[in-house]
Amino acid sequence: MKLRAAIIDYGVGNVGSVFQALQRAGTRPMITRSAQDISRADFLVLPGVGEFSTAMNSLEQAGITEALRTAIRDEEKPVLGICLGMQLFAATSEESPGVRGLDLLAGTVKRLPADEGTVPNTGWMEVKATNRSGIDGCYYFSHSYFYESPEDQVIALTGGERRFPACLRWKNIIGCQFHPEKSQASGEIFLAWFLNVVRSRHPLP
Amino acid sequence: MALRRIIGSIFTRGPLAVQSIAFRQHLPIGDPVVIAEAFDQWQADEIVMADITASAEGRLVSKDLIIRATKYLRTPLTVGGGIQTIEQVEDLLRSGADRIFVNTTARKHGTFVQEAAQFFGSQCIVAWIDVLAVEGKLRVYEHLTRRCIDTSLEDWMHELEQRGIGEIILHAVHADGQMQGFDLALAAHAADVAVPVIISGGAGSTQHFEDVFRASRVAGACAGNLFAHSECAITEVKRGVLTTTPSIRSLHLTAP
Repeated sequence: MKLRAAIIDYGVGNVGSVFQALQRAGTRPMITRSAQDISRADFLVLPGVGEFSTAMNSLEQAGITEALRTAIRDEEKPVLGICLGMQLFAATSEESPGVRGLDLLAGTVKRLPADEGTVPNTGWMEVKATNRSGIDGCYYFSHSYFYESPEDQVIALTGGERRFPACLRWKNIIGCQFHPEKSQASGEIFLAWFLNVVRSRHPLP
Repeated sequence: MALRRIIGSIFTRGPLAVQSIAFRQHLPIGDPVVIAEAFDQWQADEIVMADITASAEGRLVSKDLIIRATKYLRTPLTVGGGIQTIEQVEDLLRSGADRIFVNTTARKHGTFVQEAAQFFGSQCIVAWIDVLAVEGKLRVYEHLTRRCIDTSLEDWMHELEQRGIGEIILHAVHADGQMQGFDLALAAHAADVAVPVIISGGAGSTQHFEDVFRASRVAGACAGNLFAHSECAITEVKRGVLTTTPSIRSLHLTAP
């Protein structure tokens, strides 16, 4: 049985690339904005391109904000947030002051400081795991904001002068600031690791 | 800082990949999808697909091409050519593009960059600037009218930055297809803005990448002709550049 992935469509994401990557990784993805699909899926993916308030508004309009909170917080369904998708786990973001995010993880989203390099930060960066997940590698980033998180949620950091969380995990919630679907071999290794986490939480028959 | 990118560019005319020589001649070289797949296998850090006649012919870069190309791509793809509306951007992202670039529209439609950046985030919106060296001066060139615009290159880059552009590609028209190296004076303009700047036009050897990375702050360098005509060209160039420039991405072990 292939794992069923619900890729949440908020109108502005690069859902096509994520769909292809998950299909190549051996899952059965669907692109959706329906509460029913969310509850039927084995795991959820919040993809990555867009702007914080636009994405939250789109979830509101589709009427699935609460369905997502319930599935992730109460049912502990595994979820992967990619880039903006991870930032939506926070309660607030400097990108859209006054807009409430999904409010599922501690920490907040801040703008990258301009004195440490270009903003947006676009390109490949070395990532070091802070646990034994084995997700070290070089990944593709494309963002202007980063997730400032309590240390106990951080499972990987970027290297070099510009240090910020590359990957977060809290129970069933996993987020990455980079784009695994666009990170060639490293991205494939990362997705395989994530799918292992999903399978270990939901043993298949 | 992100590592500096070695980018494979593919110039297209509708469904065909073409080789561009100083913007005057376009030789068809084949299926862009096949080239994109090769660039992906050779570990390009990014692929830029540019439909160079879309604006002039009043059409949009082929969505069907993007869908076919991204079916197997694991490499970031930036796409442009004839984009005029927010809906078209959404359509291209949905088809598999990761970022889009605008050239003509950024000038003709004053609020487009701002609106697109607000909607999709700055990181997603790239500007392509054609630059022509005229009597030793670098000027913004408009290929539709084949004239240089009055605004200076510096002013135009600053204006784009203020409007919320996420990256600027500087393409040297005079170096295009010549394979004599990047225009280093043009690359020096990377220091004028806080957003990443990519240099394009003129790459003919590994040395040219080393030169431009040493001489300027560019976040990446593009080549098309150099990469499209020989097997594993990107891998070979990266291998060479890595010996002198540690700030680029290492090759993954499975490199061909």
